[in-house]
Amino acid sequence: MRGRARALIDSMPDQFAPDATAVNFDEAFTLHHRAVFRTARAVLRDAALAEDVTQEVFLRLYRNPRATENAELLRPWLLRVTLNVARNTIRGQNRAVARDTNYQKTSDTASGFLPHENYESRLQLQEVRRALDKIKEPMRSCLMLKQQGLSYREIAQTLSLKEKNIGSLVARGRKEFARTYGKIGASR
Amino acid sequence: MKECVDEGTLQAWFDGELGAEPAAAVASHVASCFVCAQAARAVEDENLLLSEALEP
Repeated sequence: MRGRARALIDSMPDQFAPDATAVNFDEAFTLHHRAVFRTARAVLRDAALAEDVTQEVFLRLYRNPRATENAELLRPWLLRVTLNVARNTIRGQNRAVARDTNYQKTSDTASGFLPHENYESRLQLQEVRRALDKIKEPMRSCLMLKQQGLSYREIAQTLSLKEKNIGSLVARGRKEFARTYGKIGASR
Repeated sequence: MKECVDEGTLQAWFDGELGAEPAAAVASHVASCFVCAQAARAVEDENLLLSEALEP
């Protein structure tokens, strides 16, 4: 992934490549690209899409070198951008899947074939996403970041919340997921 | 700890976010309170569901 990001930067025009931030950017990428990728994959449930999101996030960092000025706030900034870019990607995906589902229903009815296994697993992914979508913010982001192994302190920094409230927000997000995902699973 | 544990503290206990002393107090309360023991089992079940659903 590092090679791909480097190639992306090398292909950019010179006006986007101030030397003063080049080292900082490399450090930021080395330190945080795994956390960004894991967070994106947790939201998207798709490694290839998560890699695209990771590239987009670091592209935004490159275009916004001021984000690297405070090392402590860099990771929260990166993860906030990751959550936003990943959610936008899901919105685009949901529209594509809706079109795909309609097409699949039409062709299944016409041919009499059972849906393919890949189609089933994709539907299951959609159910997880739908259950996550039902959770209100900031509970959902707290839950996702907790699942990625972030500490309560890091979650609080990322989402600009108070650390003492994170446990309760994670608990409420977890309950809501269990309630909604259980329902979706039962209706299948 | 005599009073029951609120959901945020219980979650923090499961997530290893409490210090040694509060964590021990929660553990001892959960061991002696039927309601909190049930709540702790629910957290365990839901954590499992969540991990399975969100595992890559």
